Amino acid sequence: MKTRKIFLVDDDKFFVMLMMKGINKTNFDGQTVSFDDSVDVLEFLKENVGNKDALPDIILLDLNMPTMDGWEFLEEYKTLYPQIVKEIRIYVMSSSNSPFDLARVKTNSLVSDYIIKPISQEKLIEIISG
Amino acid sequence: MRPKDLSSAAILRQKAEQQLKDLQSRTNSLSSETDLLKLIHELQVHQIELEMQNEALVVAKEKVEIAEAKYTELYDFAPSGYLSLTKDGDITELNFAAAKMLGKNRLELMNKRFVLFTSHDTRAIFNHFFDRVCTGEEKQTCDITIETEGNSPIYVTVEGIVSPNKKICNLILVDITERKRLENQLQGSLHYLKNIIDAVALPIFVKNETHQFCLANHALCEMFNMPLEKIIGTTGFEYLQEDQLKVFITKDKEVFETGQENTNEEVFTDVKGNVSIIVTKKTLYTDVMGTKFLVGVINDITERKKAEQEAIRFTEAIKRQNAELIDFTNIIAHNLRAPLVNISLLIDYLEESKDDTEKRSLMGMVKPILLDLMSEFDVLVESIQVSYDKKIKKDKIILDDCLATILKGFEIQINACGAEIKHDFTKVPVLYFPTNYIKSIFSNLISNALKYQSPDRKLIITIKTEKINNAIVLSVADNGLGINLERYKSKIFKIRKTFHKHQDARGFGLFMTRTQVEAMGGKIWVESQLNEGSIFFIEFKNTSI
Repeated sequence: MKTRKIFLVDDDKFFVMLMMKGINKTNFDGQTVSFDDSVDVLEFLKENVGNKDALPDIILLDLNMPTMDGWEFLEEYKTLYPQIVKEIRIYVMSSSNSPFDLARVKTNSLVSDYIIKPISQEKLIEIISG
Repeated sequence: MRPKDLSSAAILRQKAEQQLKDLQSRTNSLSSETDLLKLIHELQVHQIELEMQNEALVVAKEKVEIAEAKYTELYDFAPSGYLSLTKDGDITELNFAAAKMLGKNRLELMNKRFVLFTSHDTRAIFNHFFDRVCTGEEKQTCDITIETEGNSPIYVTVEGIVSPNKKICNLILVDITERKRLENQLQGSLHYLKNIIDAVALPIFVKNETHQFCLANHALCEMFNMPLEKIIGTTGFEYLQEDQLKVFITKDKEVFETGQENTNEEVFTDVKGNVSIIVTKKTLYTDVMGTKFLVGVINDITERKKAEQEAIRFTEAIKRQNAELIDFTNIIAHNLRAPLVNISLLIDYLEESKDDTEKRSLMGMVKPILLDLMSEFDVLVESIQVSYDKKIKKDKIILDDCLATILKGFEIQINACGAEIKHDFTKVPVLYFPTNYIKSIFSNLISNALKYQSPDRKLIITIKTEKINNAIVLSVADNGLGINLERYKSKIFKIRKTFHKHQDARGFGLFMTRTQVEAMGGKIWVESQLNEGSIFFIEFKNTSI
C-alpha cells in the first residue's frame, strides 16, 4: 500500500502545529504536509496532476487566508479537477460558523465537509479513516 | 358757393351790357339793309342762346337744391354729433345726434353754452381743448363725459377745428361709451387675472415670440428678486446668467416651433446670487389674432432636491455602516475566534499530555498565540475608534514638513535599498486633517512601497498632491512589484489580506489607512500593473477646518 498523504493548508502557524500533533495522535501512518499559502498548493497540484504518488488523499483547507482564501482556491481547483488523476477529499475548515459559508459549502460538490474549528480528535479520526 | 355765383352773374350782366353798347354803336353806323338783316339774325341767335343758358341755370339750381337737401339730411342724421359753437362756446348749430347726446331737442339747445353739459371732472379738459381749437388751426381732440339730468353719463371723443373765418368752431362728438365700457370690462378682467395669478404661489410668466416677458406674477418677481416693471418687456438678458438664459431660450424655441408642452429641470441664479433648482413647464398659447405666446409655470424643487440628496446621503451612510458591521462581524468570527480556537486546542493537549518536555513546548506556545490575539484585537479596537470618532480634531498639516518627519523614520531602510523619494506639494501644500491619521497614511503607503519593491530596479516613490474637481487628491506612486488587481481588487483594503508572499505582510496597513480616510469622508483607491508598480490615490473631502 502506498503512503497516504494529507495536505494541511492554513496560514495560522500555531493552528498548523497543533493540528500536526492531533494528526499524529490518531496514529495516522501517512505523510502530513503543511502549506501556509493556498497558492503554493495550487501550484503543486498543477505540476502533479498526473502523478498519483505525489498527489494527496485529503486536503484540509482553511477558508480565511490572506493571499488566496479557501473559496478562491476552490474556484481554481474546479478548473484543474478534471485533469487530476486521483480522488482527493477536501475538508473546509473555518473558525467561523457563518451560515453563509456553510450554505456555500453545501452547493460545492468538490467539498466533502465543512468543519468549524477546533477539530475534535474524533472528527479527525473520522476524516482520516475516510 | 352762392356769393361766387352772384359775382359771376354780375360779370355776365356787365358783359351783356357791353355787348349791347357795342351793338348800338354799330347799329348807328348801319348803312345798308344787309347789315340790318344780319343784326336781326344775330339778336335772334342771342335770344336763343340766353334761353338755353337760363334753362341750364334752372337745372343747376335744382341740382344744388337737391345736393343741399342731401347734405342737410346727412348732417342732421349723421351718427356722430356735429356742433357749431361761437367763440364764446354757445351752440349755433347742431345735428340730431348731438342733440340726443345732450338730451334735449335742437331748438332748446340753440344758444346754450356747450360746456355746461360736460361733467365736472372733464370740464377743465374741455375748456383747455376749446381754447386750443379757437386759437389754433390744427384739429384738436379730447375725451370728455357728457352729463345731463336724468340720463346716464356719455363718454365722447371730441374733435374740433375752427372755421376758416375763425368765427365758428365746428365740433364732432363720437360716442365712445360702449368702447369705454368694454375697455373697463377688459381692464377689470386683466385686474382679475392679475389678482388670481398673483395669488398663485408658483411663479408664472408669459413670453412673446421674441422671448420678452409680457406678464409675470408676484411669485416670479420674488423668485427673480426684481420688481415687475423691470421684468416686463425684457428677455432677462440683463439680469439672468448667460448659460442659464441659453437653456431657457432653447426650450422656449422648442415650444414655439413644435407647439408641444415642455417640462425641463434647470438651474436658476437670481440677481443676488441665490441658486435654486427649478422645473419649468412651458405651453404654447395662440390668441384670436394668431399671435403666439408661451405660458410658463415654475416649480422650485431646491428643497425637495436637497431632501432627496440628504436621503441618498443618509441611505448611503447606513449602507456603509451596515457593510462595516457585516465586515466587522466576519472579522470577529474569523480573526478573533482563530486564536481562541488555538488556545482551547492547546489546553486540550496540555491536559492530555503526560510528558513534561511536551508540556513545556506546549506552554511555550501560549504566549505567542496571546500576543497574536492581542495585536489583532488592538487593530480592531483602533479601527472602531477611528470609524466612530467623528469629532476628531483636524490639524493644519504642512505636507512638506509632515512627509519629512515620516521619511526620517524610514531613513535606514531607504538608504539600504537606495530608493529615491520624489515629492511635489506645490499644487496643494496644506491640508486640514488629523495629524495622527495623515502620518499613519504616509507611513503605511511608504512602508508598502519599500516592502514590495522590485528586485530588478531602483525603487522610485513619487508623492504629490493635486486639485481635481475641487477635491484634493494625494497620490503615492511606486515602480515596485504591482498588485494583481484582477484577483485582489475587492480585498485590497480589507483586514488581514495580503497580496504578496512577504514575511512582514500582515494585512493591517491598508485596512487602517482606508478606515482613517473614510472616517474623514474621503476615498481611497489604487491603480496598479503587475511588475510595473502601483499608485495609491486618496481624495480628501471638505478639507477646511
